[in-house]
Amino acid sequence: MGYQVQQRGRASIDFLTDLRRCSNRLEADPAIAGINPGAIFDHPQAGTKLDFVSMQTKTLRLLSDSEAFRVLRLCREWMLAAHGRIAMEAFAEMPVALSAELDAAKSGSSTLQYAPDLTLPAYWDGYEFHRSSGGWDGHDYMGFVHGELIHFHMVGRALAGVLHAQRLAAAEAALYDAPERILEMGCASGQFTAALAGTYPNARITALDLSARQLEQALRRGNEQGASWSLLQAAAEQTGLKAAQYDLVCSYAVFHELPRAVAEQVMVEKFRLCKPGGALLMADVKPYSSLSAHEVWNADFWNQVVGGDPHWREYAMTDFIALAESAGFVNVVWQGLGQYHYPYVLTGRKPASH
Amino acid sequence: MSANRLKPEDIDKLGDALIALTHEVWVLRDRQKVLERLLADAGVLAPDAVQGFQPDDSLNAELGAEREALINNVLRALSA
Ligand SMILES: C[S@@+](CC[C@H](N)C(=O)[O-])C[C@H]1O[C@@H](n2cnc3c(N)ncnc32)[C@H](O)[C@@H]1O
Repeated sequence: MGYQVQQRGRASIDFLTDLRRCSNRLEADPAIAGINPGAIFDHPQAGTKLDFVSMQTKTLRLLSDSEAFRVLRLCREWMLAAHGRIAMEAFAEMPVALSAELDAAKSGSSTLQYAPDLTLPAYWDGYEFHRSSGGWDGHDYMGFVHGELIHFHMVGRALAGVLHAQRLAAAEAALYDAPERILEMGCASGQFTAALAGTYPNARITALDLSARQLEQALRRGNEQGASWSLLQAAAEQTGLKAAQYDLVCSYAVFHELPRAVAEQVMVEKFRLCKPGGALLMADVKPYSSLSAHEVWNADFWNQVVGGDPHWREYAMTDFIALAESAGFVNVVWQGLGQYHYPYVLTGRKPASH
Repeated sequence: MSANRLKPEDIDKLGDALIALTHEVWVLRDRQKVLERLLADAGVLAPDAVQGFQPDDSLNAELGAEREALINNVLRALSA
């Protein structure tokens, strides 16, 4: 599926990339770099309760005296508000023939099963995560717009090659040598699905998501790779799938978008779907317990407070080892991968005797 | 005449509008550079051709539509 971003879209993405790069330099300003919300926020233990709201109120009062901070926030909030619209505009100026090509690319070796009667959960439906205009589903070709224009061109430009390498590392971290059947929850446009397929070429892969538009892009990706993925529109917390079918049940960057109560349900559902002796893999952003007080402020402010990630904080303060163990998993380990300790990967096993 | 046509609470929107405008200016400057390179490479443009050019009705209409979209982009930030 070849395509070219046209002039306005290309120049806009260049602009966003450089605005991000240039404004990031403001982070070095002593007023910002010196923010320290106090020792209790230094590597806070997962599962404890801290008063983040007054921490953010207090630090914000200090920071409002900093011109560097005010300008950084202006730039970042502008990018958050604008990036989805810029991506949709970039799509709109691409040749009309692209839509037909995208439709045709849905036919091939992979399959997609829609669930027209699925009730989309309130925490997801219509919410614009990352303040992306259109959310996951709000455009006929939102999977392409998000997976290609936003993820690959906008985000990926600044992080050349890193995004795929992180997914590969996560796929390799599974405690299972040669899984025959893999289930991925929250596959979006299939970026991690591709990493799983590359790592376990003999596995049969099923991948689900709530978003029909994202799944369609995963379908195109699967077909393009000649893969036979079974894609499924379903809620991770209630898949309707038969129990104990999968050697490996995994997700990438999904749990931080779930309310805590749903995260628990998803973990229980993962356990149910796992074969006895099968493996759990959850890759996601860093928990606050792995961060210094300054890094906690930084992650919490830019994601939870202004970034359009309403469940980031509860994810980052949840004890996922306890959560996985109470669902029934054993040998549970939660650690950061590689030099930057990113992503954080939770692995565990369903007892063989279960 | 009057000062304070914008109120202090409009200041964030003004910041947003300024960045939106900078974005649009960049898109244009990029496009203009591309055009000038293509035209020069093809030997089409004389050095003062752009400077002295007068648009006809149809080009004026096209420019008008694009100008309106540009203005709307800026106003969107101001009225958000
Ligand atoms: C950040 S994206 C996932 C990225 C993807 N796994 C990758 O590797 O690029 C989060 C995805 O989770 C999906 N999602 C959120 N809540 C869900 C739920 N309860 N059930 C299934 N999918 C869900 C969203 O629709 C979205 O596509």
